[in-house]
Amino acid sequence: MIQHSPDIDLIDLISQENQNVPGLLNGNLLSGIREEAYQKLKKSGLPNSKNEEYRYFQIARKLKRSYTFKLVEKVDLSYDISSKLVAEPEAIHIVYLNGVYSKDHSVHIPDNSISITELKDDSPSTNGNLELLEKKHQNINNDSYIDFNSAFLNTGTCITIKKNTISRSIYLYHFFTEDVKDHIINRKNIIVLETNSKVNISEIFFSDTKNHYFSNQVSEIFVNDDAKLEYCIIQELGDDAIHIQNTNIYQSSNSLTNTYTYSLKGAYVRNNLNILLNDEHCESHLYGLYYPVGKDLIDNHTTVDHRKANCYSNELYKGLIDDNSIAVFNGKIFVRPNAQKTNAFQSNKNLLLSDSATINTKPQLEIWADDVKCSHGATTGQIDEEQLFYLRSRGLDARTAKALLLHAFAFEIIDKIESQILRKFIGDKINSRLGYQFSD
Amino acid sequence: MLKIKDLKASIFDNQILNGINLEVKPGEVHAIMGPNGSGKSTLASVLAGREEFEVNGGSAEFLGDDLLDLSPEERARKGLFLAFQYPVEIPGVSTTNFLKSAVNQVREYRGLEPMDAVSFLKHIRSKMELVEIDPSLLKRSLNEGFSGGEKKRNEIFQMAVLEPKLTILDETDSGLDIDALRIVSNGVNTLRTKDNAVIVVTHYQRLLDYIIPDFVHVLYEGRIVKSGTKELAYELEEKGYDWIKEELNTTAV
Repeated sequence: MIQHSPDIDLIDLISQENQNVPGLLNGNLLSGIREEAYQKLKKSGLPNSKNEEYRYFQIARKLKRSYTFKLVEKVDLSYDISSKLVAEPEAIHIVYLNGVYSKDHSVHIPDNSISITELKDDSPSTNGNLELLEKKHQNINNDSYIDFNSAFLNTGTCITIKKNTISRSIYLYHFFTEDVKDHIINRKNIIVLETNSKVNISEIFFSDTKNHYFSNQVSEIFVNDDAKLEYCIIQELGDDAIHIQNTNIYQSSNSLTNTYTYSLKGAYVRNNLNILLNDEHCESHLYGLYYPVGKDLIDNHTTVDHRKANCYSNELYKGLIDDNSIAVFNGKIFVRPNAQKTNAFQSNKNLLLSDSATINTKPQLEIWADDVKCSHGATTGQIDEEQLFYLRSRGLDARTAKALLLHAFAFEIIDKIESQILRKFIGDKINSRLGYQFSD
Repeated sequence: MLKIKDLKASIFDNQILNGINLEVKPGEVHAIMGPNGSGKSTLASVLAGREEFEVNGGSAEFLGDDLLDLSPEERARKGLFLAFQYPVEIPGVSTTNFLKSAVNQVREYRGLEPMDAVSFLKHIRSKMELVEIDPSLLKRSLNEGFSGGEKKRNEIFQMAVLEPKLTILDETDSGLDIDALRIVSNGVNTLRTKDNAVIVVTHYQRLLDYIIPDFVHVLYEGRIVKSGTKELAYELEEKGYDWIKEELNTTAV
């Protein structure tokens, strides 16, 4: 284990004029972006208890400590990833240990239709992507963790899928080990699907260390005309991990995105998923499953912004909340004045599995157009006693019957994934958590 | 096989069963009839082990064991089967999937090896034909979108697969047309052996034309007030339940 002492107080950092922090990315273009973000951050500060969007996700006190921004460069080659990768041989598997790319753990397949580069100081590809970001970025997400991410950026990846490509799958693995203690990882991923391209991208976040760290990721994803994105996030994080993930997806005409967010574990997990439908004939499906246990806090905020006509969005998030854990769901749908013939649907279903589990759920629809079809619904309940009794009356013991019912509840979200391999990967994790042993 | 002595049960402070006495031997079919509110479904629920009911008197012995001491799954594994009046829907759980688990848990309890997928399919194929159930229904979510008749046939299908010693049919005929009634009854009759027994809980005599009982009991205000053979069912149909009430009042006087 690498010894270091964290030396930078986070809250001081934001309030003082001190940008000479070791470990941050630099470069002409980058420093401009960083400075602008820093100024915004100084004005706004990080979300406090008065911020409605962070009402149930209060980490201000936890952040009052010292952190290290310099990432652990030396990759621990002994870290065993054998059981942690998805079994898809034709795919590209990129492994990051504590935020740093590990060539030895990754599986690269040369492919001219895909470009994958790391954000590095002043490299042409970095600058190209940053310019694109500046040009196409729209203010769909005012979260100050995004400004924090830009101001104190220390790592990132750019992925471009060339036009008309039906790409192989891409898996990005973010593993956090003991060495990540007291680190901040501000990662910015820029993903571009050029016209008429198709790709499955999955980001798998895994840490089983009890050490504290703060992972703050921003993904900016541009889905151009006629392109199709399958984007899957899996989060299984440690007992003192803070993980905040802002994902902004910008869709162009006739594009389709399916996003799947599986938050299975983590002390503080916050997902802000924002979809901007700024062209006609876009389609977007948002699926999520959260399953906090112990003292976990998992907060999913989503926004679907319909700005033009003839778009279709559909959202289904389900929660299994156990022990003393807390889950939060807020789904916003905006239908702007020009977005006629919008179809926008949202549903949130929760099962409380213990007396001390908590769910805070708030659907939020703001509709300014008049020729639309929109609906929302949120339910919270416990395991259906009738169903439980029925299964027991056939000879299944209570535990097995319960696992069967929870499996059925959770698998509605897993069955939505196109890729059978990915379905199995996540399905196995859920089944092992549930103690569900039957093969279907 | 089943010995019920002076069984009393209540729910939410309402006393429903007021001392039931009943004995069922292997090979027998007993019909329990009675007006609405007499306690027919309560009796079935208490025997199956529903926890909402509080047993506050009497006893029930099943194959030599204290039935009331067993959990619902233990009763099922010993060989008790309840065909529900209103079978619940379970989205996301298919009949075949959960039945295979149930069969294997029952087998484990009886000290048998579990069935693999192939053997299980063979086992259920003949049962499917027996109740004329479409195989595609079994792969779907349990009872979801099933018609009333399909739900009841699914109950009998499960009975056929699980091969219980004592089956309780809780108003299995309610909501069934003649064809469904015929299929369901045929299934029940075909599964009868000299070692198993059936309790048919029903409001109407019609079902008993198809499943011919050895004994008919009339339940009224939580007690069996009259017992007889299948002729009693015809008398009830002719004279109605009021006849029983009158008889009781006369006797009381």
